[in-house]
Amino acid sequence: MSETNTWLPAPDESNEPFFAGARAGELRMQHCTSCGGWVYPVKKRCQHCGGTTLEWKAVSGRGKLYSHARLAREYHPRHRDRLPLILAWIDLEEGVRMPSNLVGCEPADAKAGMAVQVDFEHFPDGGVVPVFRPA
Amino acid sequence: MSHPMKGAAAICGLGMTEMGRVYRDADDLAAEAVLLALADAGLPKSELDGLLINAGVTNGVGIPLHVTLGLKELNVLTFMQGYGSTAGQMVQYAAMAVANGLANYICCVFADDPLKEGVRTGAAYARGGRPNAMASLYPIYGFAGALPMYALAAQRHMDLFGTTQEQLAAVAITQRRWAAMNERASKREPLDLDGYNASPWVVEPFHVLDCCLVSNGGAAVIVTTAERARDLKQPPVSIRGFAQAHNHDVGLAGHDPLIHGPGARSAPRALAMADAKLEDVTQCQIYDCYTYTVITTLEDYGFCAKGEGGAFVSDGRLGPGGALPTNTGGGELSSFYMWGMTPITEAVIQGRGQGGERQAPNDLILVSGNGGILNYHSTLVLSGQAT
Repeated sequence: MSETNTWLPAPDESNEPFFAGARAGELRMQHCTSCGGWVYPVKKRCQHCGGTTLEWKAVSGRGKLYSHARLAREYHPRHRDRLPLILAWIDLEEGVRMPSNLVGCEPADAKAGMAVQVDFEHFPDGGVVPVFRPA
Repeated sequence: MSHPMKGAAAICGLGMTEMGRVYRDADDLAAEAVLLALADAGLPKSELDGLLINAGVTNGVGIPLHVTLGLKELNVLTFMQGYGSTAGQMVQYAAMAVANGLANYICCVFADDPLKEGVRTGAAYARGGRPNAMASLYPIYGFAGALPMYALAAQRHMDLFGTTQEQLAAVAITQRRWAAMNERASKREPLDLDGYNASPWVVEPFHVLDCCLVSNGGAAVIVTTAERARDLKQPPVSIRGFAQAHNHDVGLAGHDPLIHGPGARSAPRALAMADAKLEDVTQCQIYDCYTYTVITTLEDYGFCAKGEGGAFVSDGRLGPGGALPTNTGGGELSSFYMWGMTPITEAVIQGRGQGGERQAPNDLILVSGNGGILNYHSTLVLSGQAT
């Protein structure tokens, strides 16, 4: 299997807007038209109010670091040359928590609560994923 | 007035197979554990009329276990899954069932067979499907299985409260001292801070030695009424109190389960059922999938304030001769990993007074079960004393 095929199956109808957003440099999430809550990851039903009318909208990309840890062993082609990869949970301003990576930051400088801003990591094969860097 | 379930049921049988690199199927290991528990209790198979089954990560045992065992007339039978909290849950449902006459003797069994010959240990828990593009982001970001999530939990505790690497190490080192006295323990060689620091990083702040073992094996306990337990071969271990509490997972903004676990709701209710206070607890068997789990659970239970757990575990009180003997068999870090059955089996050994040189006071044994990423929790209050 080629590396391209191992890292990400093609987005499907349910999650294509998320990846299209990443390619366009925008972090997009589902927004519930009933209660105004944000939903992540992709869902069919709003976990706040149970509503089923969810539309994709851009979020600010601003948030705070909930926590972090450093991956010491690579186990995925996308980890190559990126160790120590900083795993991160991000609390977005909109009230969504998402897993990601913290980049542009020395591991010793990472601290829960620090302000972060979304960025996008472009892989050589065209794949794009949201990551975060210190704001 | 006492709670009607206080002391109504007891654990009367204990079955433990070989554990560790035992290359056998989970269904077979589960069957052996049940048969060992029956023999231990002095019960013929024909008396067993209840079976609660919990499978580990391989999902290798299920309802057909009763066919494997040739159990023809059961009054209680189901498969249960609450991850690491399940074993404690099974004992709770079994206690309520026997106390209310649904069945007389209910065996609660767990088995798992993640270790395959020639396959790296960590692979057992790191695998996971890539069902769609969103889910595939997790391994790209470095998240696979529970380990990174607990590492993030420990790091948050360190960031918020100044908890140190040496305090995580203290849990591993202290439990290894207990394991040295447990012939069933997989890791019995002495461990010091240098040895801990020499173990490789997995996901920093976790070294390999911050993580539980991966084990094949089976473990079972039989629950009956306190009255019936008195007439059997082994000293009964009284079930004094129990409770469960479950949280939303970490993926909900504003929710802080990595620091404030559901044990904070579970333990007070379990102790209330037992008419007991935290100060009455004479030993703990705490689910220890990672060193950090012990620190945060003891905090959640109220033994010290939130944030002070690192210092609490570092003064030797959890070790042999300490004021709060904890994980006296070496725990999941050093003895074997049978999910929630690891703390329960040791609690039964201790409750019977069969701990040998590692025996600790068994008046009140607080037992925790923890599943998910600090999401699912069960608490048992057991006692080796009759009343």
